[in-house]
Amino acid sequence: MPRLVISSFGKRAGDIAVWTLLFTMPYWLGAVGGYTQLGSRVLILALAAMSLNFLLGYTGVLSFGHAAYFGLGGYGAGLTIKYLLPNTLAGMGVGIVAAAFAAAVLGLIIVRLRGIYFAMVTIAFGQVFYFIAYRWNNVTGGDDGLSGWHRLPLDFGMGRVDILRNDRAFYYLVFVCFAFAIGIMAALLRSPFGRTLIAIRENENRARFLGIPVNRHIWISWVISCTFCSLAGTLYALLNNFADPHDLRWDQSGEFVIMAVLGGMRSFWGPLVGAAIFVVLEDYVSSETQNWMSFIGIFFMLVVLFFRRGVLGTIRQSLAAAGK
Amino acid sequence: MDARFWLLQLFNGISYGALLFLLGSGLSLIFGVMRIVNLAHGTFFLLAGYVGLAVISGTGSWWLAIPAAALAIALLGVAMERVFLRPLGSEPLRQVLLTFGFVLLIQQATLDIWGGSNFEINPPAALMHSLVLGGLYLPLYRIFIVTVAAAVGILLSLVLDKTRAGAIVRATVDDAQMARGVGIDTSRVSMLTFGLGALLAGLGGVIGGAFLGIYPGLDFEVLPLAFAVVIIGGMGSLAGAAVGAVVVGLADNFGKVLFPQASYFTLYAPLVLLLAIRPTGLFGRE
Repeated sequence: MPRLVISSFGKRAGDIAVWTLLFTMPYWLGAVGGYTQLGSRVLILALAAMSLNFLLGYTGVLSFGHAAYFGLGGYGAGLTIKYLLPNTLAGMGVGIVAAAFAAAVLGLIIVRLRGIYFAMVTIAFGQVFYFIAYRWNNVTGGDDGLSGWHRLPLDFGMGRVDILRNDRAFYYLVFVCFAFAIGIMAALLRSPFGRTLIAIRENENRARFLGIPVNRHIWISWVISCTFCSLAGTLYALLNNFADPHDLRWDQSGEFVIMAVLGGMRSFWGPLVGAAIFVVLEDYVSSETQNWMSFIGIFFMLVVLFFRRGVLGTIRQSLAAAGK
Repeated sequence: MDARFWLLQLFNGISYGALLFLLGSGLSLIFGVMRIVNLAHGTFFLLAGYVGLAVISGTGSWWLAIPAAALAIALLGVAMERVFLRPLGSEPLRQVLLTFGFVLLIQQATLDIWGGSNFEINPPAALMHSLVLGGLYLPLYRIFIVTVAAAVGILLSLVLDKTRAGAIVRATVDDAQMARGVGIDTSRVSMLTFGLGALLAGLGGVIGGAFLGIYPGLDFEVLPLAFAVVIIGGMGSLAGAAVGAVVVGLADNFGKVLFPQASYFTLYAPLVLLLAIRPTGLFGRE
């Protein structure tokens, strides 16, 4: 089967190209008009969108509430560093554990629902966290956000990495986290567990007849997805040295969905492409005009209307058509 | 805190529920017929408030503002369904995402036109009094809201249950494919339902503008409330929307009175409880 060999070779080559580009990003980004912090932003939001897509694209469940876990990670990190322990990694740990715990508990109720109900309940529950951050002024800073703290250099005993002042060092912290999370998710998707998730996506009833505990699988997928999304949230707060209540609001969840759909939710790297387009456009458009939101709104609607497979899916489809 | 205080709070909760009914019933109807959740529903609510304001500042008439704004939003809904949602046919995910596109678009548009300030719609002086009933001071405006919501609810349920048009809508809700099979133009039913849902949200927006205010972000605040209403009541059911609205209205009001710090938990507590017991809502079907 020569075709299969070529396509799996093509896939391998594509993966290597993506990782090489990401690993060297701080060194070529300047040449194309970017800057290192923009690269960190792309990678962080890509991690959030790819985590969401683990659930949306590979389990077939639409969540409109991932911003809650993204924001929980961010506030967990910020609050820990500000009030408890001035240590970057400790802050990240607290943020991720808090978000994973919340996702695990709420997930018990959420996974019993499907389709539109699932999306609505994730929004409704997500808004609870938004209102806590928004209202609990004296702890979270309310509408102004959580400021008055910043990330701290990493101290490993034998050496120090100054992620505070050195943008490239921070980028590589993000890169390591990204590689770790994406590596785990890719391995999971190749495993029998991942195949089962795809089977659930394709036909839930058939999966159930095969004796697969569908709800438990969706719950595990949900918790994994939310946990990695919260990792992205901690990094985002560290990048900005700030946690914003709007990062928890449901329209932020909608932006993650936009990124996944924009790039192509049936392609593994699709959400990365979507996040890159989104962030670069946002950076460019919002420096030119105030109307960033309507711009992305129209752009997004065009993609939904005319490129149903997203950017990467469409490219792949036309490549396949050309190769025939 | 005597009995009078609690009765007043009960009344406040119910009148808030009446407003939520206007918002939630439209969302529920749209879901019943089209199987999509309209993420722009809160946006319709807010936009209607702004349109109402514009009509009032143009004509000076509050009574004119209500039908004018509701109709404008209904037209917007019809156009949205015809031009954008219909071409996507039976793909609920893409339709839902498209309504989110409208959320972003209209959010920016309202910000550009009306700015970031807080507005309030002042009802006519005739409605600013209170009705004294057994020592209770009931604000006339809240009685007005309850009356409108009750009238809308009764009218809708009469139309749905007793008329031919209602039978057509019910048939589409039950089984759209079968309805098409017997010659019902379900595409037209979708268009009119989406328009009607938008109209109800618009009605709520203008009327609610008097005590919620009109400001950027209101769209994001009311949408989860509308969701809570239809999740509790069950999607696609008018009676469910009514019950859900009263439950949410009461939970919100008593939550704010009893536990002002944690009112959002008291609002979501019945929601969580119900979902754990009955995931399809009180009146929802599998």
